[in-house]
Amino acid sequence: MKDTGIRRHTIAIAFACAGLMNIALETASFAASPANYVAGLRRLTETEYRNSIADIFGSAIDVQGRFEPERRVGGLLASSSAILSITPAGFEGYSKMADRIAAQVVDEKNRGKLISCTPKTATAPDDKCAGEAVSHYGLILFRRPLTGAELKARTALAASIAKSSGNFYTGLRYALASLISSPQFLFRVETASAKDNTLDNYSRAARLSYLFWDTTPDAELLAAAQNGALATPDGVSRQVDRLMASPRLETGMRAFFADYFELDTFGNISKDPTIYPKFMGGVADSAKEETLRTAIDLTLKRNGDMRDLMTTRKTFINRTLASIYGVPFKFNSDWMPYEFPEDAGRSGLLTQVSMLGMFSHPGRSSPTKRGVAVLDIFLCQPTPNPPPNVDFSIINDVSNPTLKTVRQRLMAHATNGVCASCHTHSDPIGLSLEQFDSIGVRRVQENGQPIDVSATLQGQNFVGATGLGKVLHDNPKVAACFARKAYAYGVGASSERVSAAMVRTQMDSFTAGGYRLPVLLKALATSPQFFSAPPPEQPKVEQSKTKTAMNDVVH
Amino acid sequence: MKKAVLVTAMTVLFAAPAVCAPWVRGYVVGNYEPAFYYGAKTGATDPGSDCPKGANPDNNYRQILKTAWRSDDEVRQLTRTVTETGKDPTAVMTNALAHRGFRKDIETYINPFGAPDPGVQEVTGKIAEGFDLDGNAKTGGFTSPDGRRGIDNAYYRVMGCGNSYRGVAYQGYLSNRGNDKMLEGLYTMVVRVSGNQDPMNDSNARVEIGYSPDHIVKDAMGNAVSDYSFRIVKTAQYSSLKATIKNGVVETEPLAELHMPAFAWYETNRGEAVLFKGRVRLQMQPDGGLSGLAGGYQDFRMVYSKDTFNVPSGGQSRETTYYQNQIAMYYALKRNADGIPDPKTGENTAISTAFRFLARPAFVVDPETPAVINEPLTSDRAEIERALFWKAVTTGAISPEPARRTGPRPQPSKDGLQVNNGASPTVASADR
Amino acid sequence: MAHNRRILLRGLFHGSTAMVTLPFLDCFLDDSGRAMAATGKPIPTRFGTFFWGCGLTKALFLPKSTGANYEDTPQLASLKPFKAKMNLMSGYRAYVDNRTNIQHWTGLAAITTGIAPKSDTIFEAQTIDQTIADAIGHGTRFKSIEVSCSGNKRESYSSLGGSNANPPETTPLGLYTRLFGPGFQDPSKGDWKPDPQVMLQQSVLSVVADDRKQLMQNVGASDKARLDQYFTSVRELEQTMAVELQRPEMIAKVSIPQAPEEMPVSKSVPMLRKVTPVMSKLLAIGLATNQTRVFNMAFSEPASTIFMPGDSQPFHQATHEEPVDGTLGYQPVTSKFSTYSMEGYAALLAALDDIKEGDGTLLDHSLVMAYTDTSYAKLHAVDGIPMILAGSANGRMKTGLHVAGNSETVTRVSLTVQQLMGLSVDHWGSESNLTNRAVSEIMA
Repeated sequence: MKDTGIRRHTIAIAFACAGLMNIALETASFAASPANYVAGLRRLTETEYRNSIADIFGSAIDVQGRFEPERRVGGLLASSSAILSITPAGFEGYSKMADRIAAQVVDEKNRGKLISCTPKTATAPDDKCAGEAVSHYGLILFRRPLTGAELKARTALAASIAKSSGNFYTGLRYALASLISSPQFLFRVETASAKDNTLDNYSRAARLSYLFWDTTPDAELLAAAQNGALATPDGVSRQVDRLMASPRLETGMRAFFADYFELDTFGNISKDPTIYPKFMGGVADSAKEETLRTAIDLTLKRNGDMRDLMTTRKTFINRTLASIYGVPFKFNSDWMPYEFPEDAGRSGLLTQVSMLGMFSHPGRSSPTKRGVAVLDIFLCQPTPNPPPNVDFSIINDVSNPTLKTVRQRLMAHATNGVCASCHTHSDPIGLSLEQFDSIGVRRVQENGQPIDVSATLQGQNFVGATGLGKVLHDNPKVAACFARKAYAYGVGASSERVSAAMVRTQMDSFTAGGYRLPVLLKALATSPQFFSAPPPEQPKVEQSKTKTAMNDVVH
Repeated sequence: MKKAVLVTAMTVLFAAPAVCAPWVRGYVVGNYEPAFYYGAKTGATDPGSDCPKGANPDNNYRQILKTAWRSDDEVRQLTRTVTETGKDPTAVMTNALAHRGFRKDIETYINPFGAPDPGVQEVTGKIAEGFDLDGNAKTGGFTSPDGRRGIDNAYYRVMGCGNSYRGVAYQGYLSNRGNDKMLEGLYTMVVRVSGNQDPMNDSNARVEIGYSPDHIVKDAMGNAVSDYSFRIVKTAQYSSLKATIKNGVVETEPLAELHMPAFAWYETNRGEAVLFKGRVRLQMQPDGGLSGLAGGYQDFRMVYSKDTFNVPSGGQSRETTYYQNQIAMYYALKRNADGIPDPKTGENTAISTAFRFLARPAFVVDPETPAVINEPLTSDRAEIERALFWKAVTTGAISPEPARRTGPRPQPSKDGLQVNNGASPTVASADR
Repeated sequence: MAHNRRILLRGLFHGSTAMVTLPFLDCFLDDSGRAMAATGKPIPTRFGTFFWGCGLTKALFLPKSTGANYEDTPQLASLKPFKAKMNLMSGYRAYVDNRTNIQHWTGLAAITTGIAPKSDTIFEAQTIDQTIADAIGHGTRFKSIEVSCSGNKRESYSSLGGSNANPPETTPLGLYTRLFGPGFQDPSKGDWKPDPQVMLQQSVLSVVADDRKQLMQNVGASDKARLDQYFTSVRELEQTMAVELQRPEMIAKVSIPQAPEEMPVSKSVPMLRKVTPVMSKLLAIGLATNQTRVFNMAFSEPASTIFMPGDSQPFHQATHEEPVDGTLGYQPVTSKFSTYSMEGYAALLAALDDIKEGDGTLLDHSLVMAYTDTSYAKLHAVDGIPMILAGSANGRMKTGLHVAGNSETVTRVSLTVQQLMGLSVDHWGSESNLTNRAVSEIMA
């Protein structure tokens, strides 16, 4: 992960300096209190896990291992964190990762920096030092102070292993490993108070931190949780301002944009190397980076109107992308800002290599795929799967002498009622993008015919990518969808279950604020909905009464 | 002349009408080799109009190792097969190959004239690619495939039947090897053509050739990917020539010294080619690529030196792996030298040469911050030997053999020439 | 129960031998679900490498079609009996980046270490077989065994990094003595100590499992189900470890062989044809009797100088000197040597497949990686270096496929191999050889 300028290990040290040992020794007793209940359980995503470990133990610690895959729900991988668990194979991976991390932490070259106390002797147990280390890391790893029982179990483990192995650090290693493989670390346990159905302070701290910085709460945020500041709107607002003012906001927003733009799709696609020899290994990663840089530059660095992502001609390219866009590269640094000339026909993210490349076939473009993706990603309108017995032979026959262009071949859908119900929405979008091939290279002819990029969508006529870009820019649903997804990302819900009503006030602020991302983020994070929790589930008296689907209740 | 402002993307090539505007076209070389005309149809060794007996076979080692002072028995020992020794035959012969002279103590790579001329089969055909370097249709002895007379390419005459060079254009062994290595990143050669009128017809154009520090990107099919950007750097291997273009054919002025990247297929033989009275002819291809021919006179002693003193692939390797005979080559180069007479002796010091190449469209840009090309790696040993050879050949006096390595016995190398315990040529080793 | 188990394990850890038998649960299966011996204990997965020098002849080696049922090719004829138990990985590239392509070295080093090296005969990291041995070699007598079929003590490409390689056994008798001579561990008798690390890991999991009670309070039904699944996963790992604490049983049907006669060894092909099967058989029995779980066989060296008696020059010389035949399109004499090399690999696979073990053969319970230093040796090309993965790694690897690498880095295969052997690794290699994508087509 890229370090955005704040050295990660200072956070770990800062904990000690902030005198948080007091908190650590408190034995909170959450679960015992009937006033609290677990409102949500969110498995850490891979980047959240890696960033958290890097912040807690320093970026020198190598994290190697395989993570359980996430699933896309309502267009976001983050939303699946609320419904997935951990399989045996997955847990084996987490367990090995935890052990490997813990081994590095207590290793001779790291322990001086990472373990603040020294045992009386390195060859025997030392409950005091072990306790200190476990409390300290337990707090940061569990994102709340350890309970008495949790602390006791670990120090006992450390002592017994230290005794039998004759090495204090071996004991500490396994105690730390037990923290890192605990569900309390691997899942964000979101606890709420039954009194008002809102998240408790520590859960709030986690939600804020993972939304804004994609990592575990820092010392200041944990302190704000401990001293009750996060219980007040004012306290929340101050922390939100602090988190947003930091350069680390970029890390958090990169994670959000990567999810929102579905950039992981590249992992599931391939291109035919005989047809697209330019699509070598580095292209996918470069394309992802281009999109992230463009989005961050526009929405954060220049504090611009988010809708311009549909129309901007400004981007960032490296040498690899320069060859695909067909422009010369200046070798001053690995990435250079670039603005497409007007006649290049490009329009925002719609015509970047990422969007064009991810939603195409290995050997040719697919207006349907592109249309479906645009509807899903930007308009929050997912398309159902095609019926099982579709005959693809006409659309796939690229050598048909009469149906020379893909537009002509797709017309078959327009005439069939079953097909048209979906295809009239998706295909025009994709057809307007047809002057870019399967890897995003500009072309104006297909099989000797000029490519017609005019299209009509819901009565609106437009031409080409620039036309599409304008239509989307002006469509209020784009901003609304963006807001819903940002909210869903933050609270771990499916965007499909986020109604307009839930984000009304945030939308109003967003609109009034010129569609600026920081305005939206602030509005979301300081809204009362952000920390609201569904009421605790009733005890299982009548199970069949109200059949609640998994994510029906929005957290 | 100012570089063009307008840069054309090469993905779509239109039939452009004559237009007066600054223009630039860049290219990256993917195939590069000496311009040797192949007189047969397919393959590499078949008899043809260039070499009626086919490509030159491997040396008869018993013959070439036999000297007045080396007994038949010794020769037999030196030429045992792998079946008899279990060892790489080159390793067995390696020291003897360096001593084939009139006297036992003459190191004959350094002093090739210290051995008799064994002779070499030269090209006897009449067709060759190249240029009429001296402007005299009566000299040269070759006609080009497109009918130009008086082509001067004596280097081809000497080397053209060589087993490792001969073959259909761009398919000879060393050419293939060079292509594989260039595309792997060994070096990058770029060409930039520019003018103010029209790429197909321009009376005031310019051609630049040089190295780029930027690697070629190779696609899954093994070809250089088009449209990548490359910096062109003005190192010793850079030249800029005035040119005129007629119907897509670019002809440059001659330069007293044309410097360009050398044809190379491993680290220690890349570097500089210096062509006296050098010039370039380029042809724009319909697919946006470029084919090129560069010609001039090369100092024949430099040619010999670069070919013979290399690590790991030096004289012995050239002979046993590439089927050459360095001593014969020296004599043949000298006898065929046809240019740049020595002011004192009047003897020609250079031999007419031509190289050809194929290039793909690319963006060739000037670096905005200084960029460096790594000098080719060499070894102390090779440098010492080159210096000794130069002294010998310019004074006519035998140079003594440099001291032997004193370290532990090196293992047989990958290319047949011993290297110092397998250390790469990156390590300058005093005792080889 | 959890409490008692912890005390029980502590007791074990204080030095007493692992004589406890844990209850065998019917529902217990390992990840692959298949590789269970009749006794109910999982069969360990073995790993081996086979190295041959100087690559392949594309026209005779590479099938044109990919996927299953790819066509047979002449240079792979000897491997046909094992086609269904192997995967042909072709077209992968060793990226050189800013380093020189060190002839006959960079290719093989990139495959086994993930790093294009700076100098000849140097590995910039430990080789893949040692990394795998670190993970699976516990409880066996030898971490790994290396052999050189041609009797060359310098032919070993298994290394902990740097310029040292693990020294190979160079004669059949030498290999026999090493495996079955003094120090031989009869699997049915003798001392066996459980891996202490496993016990420590188990205590960690116990503590984690204890978090369950507190967490499960006040959790809604759907989240409860998810936590249930999580804790079930924890328990399954505990049980996997419990089984590892039991002495592995030798279930292969083998008997300890007689010592082989003294045999001459050399790089001549007829000699290699005699020696390779003998070495292979000894290795196979060594694996079956748990003397080791990792082996490395070097058939020839990178610039291979194997030769056919009567030939004037060995393999490597031929690769550079023999011209390409104009009609055939390849070098006919040179190409024979790649064929001989594949015959050597077939002999190794035959020896492994010959040993019945549980419901399959030793080969089924192994993963063997054959690799080489170059693709087209004449040019020292490192683009299109072939690798052949054989065995099914105890059911983890799908077989019978030809996968085209499309010039992606060779480390994609190396990463896949490590994951198939159960290593917890998600990224491997450096610079352009850095990858985080295993070849999922061959992963079950």
